Amino acid sequence: MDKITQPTVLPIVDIINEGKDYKTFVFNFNLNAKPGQYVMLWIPGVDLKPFSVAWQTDSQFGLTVLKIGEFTSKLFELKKGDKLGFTGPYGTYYDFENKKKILLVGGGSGSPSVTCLAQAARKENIEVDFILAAKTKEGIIYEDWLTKQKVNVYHRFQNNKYQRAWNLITDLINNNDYDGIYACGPELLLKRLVDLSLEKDIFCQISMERYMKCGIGICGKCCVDPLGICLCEAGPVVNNHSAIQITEFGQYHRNSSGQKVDF
Amino acid sequence: MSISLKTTITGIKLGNPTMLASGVLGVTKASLANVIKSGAGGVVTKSISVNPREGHRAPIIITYEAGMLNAVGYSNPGSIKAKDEFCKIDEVGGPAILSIIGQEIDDFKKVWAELKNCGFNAIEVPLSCPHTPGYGTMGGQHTPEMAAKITETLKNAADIPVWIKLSPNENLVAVGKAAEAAGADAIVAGNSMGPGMVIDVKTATPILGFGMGGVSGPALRPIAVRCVFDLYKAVKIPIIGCGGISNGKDMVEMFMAGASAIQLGTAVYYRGVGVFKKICDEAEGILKENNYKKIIDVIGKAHG
Repeated sequence: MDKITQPTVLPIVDIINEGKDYKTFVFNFNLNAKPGQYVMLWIPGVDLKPFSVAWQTDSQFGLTVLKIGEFTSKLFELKKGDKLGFTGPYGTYYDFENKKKILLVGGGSGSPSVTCLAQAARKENIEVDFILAAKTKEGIIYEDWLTKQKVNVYHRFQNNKYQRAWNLITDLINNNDYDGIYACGPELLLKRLVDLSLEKDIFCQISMERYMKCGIGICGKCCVDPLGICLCEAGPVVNNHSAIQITEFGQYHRNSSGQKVDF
Repeated sequence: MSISLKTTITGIKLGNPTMLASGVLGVTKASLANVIKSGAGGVVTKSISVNPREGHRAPIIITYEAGMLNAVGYSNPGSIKAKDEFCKIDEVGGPAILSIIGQEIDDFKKVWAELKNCGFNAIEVPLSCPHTPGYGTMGGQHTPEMAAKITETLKNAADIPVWIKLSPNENLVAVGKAAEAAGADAIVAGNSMGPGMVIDVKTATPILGFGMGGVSGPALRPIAVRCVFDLYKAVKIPIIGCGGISNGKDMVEMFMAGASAIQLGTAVYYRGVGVFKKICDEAEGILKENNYKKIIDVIGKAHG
């Protein structure tokens, strides 16, 4: 009965402008998250939303946020020193143990989930190729940061479709011996990647986004069909074999009231 | 000699007495099926209203030293989408109970009319939510008059048992008796209590999005046990115990107070979705130790 879930409240120690509509909020805290895990971020008196941990050190962590709605707009109004709360880290994480050369794909606001993996993998001297995909050039973030980590960065941007990124993904997979592929981004891109990895029999994990409201497997908002498991706990990171058991993967998700919405 | 945990509530046979309480998981049919697969004897859906509801802002659930506070605010897809979600509900693999909410008397009828062919085994009506304006205790529904009206309305409309879920706060026996007189088939005792509030001292802000929320978990259990005990003396219809049960001993205790089945909510947080099976295994051990063969033999045992 000693499990207490209440936000840890901390001042924002830094805000980094990453690009158009992207900011990173930095906190002094040894979060000790595993790559791919997320926190529920609380703007006191406003709301609570999930964000992947973009990077971390022994004393800090950063959350990179795309301004996309009411909550993130409020977040963008905040200044250094303003207080935010978080619970977590929560969820499953990327498994990169004993990998030698891995391919990471980050699509749009999904990038700051795999960036954390890039950081952790480079610490283990794993060779990392990273594809940054975005709708526009301004949406390409983290290129310099990744380069500093000695990650091989490729970037592709194109409105609406991710065909240019997809061509690059298939080229890289065909011409390299990756022993792991990891991705977070638009679900239709993830679906293609999962299918390809299964066809080529390469270890693959993706981070799947569903409407998560409590983060602790109780409210049931993020239950996926037909397994009926909460993705806030059984996810967000799932491997390719599990992903295809989720029949709604690439098809639909549920909104805040629980209604199905097609991709 | 194996111990029997079988119980029957309003004609519905349960393989074991544990049911998923409304509001926890239960948004989708697949989720309910997963709970049954994990060992629950039955499941209750998230409460369904006529129209879709987004619910309160988050945090909707927090916990503290003695339990949980929630202010989910009845988020649900509305009766029309719920019909698609829950059609052929028997596919979940066990008894499924539909929780219906409304603000006007007619709302209860409307939701039932939409979902009546889904195959539910019973209807549960919470007159007792402590944190949603217009509904339950915040909607003035936890009175003998409203209990009678709402029960009567659904009894006239539906051909399956109607369970009325009460608040542990006050008027429990009076509201329970009124529901029974109006034809209710069972009482669920009860909902979360309060509401309560937890304030973050660094920002001087109530943490829950709605500010306050229903209190459940260990803090609620002795109150829920006393509620069931009081009701057992006052009504003849069966009682489903709900409130802070988290282990087998708690379940046996609730039966001794007068419950014929139980519901679990907060315990899913403490012990995961496998909690249903864990509690059954523990209860079996306790019954065996005390020389009981069937859990139904201990119903009301504490009344002497």
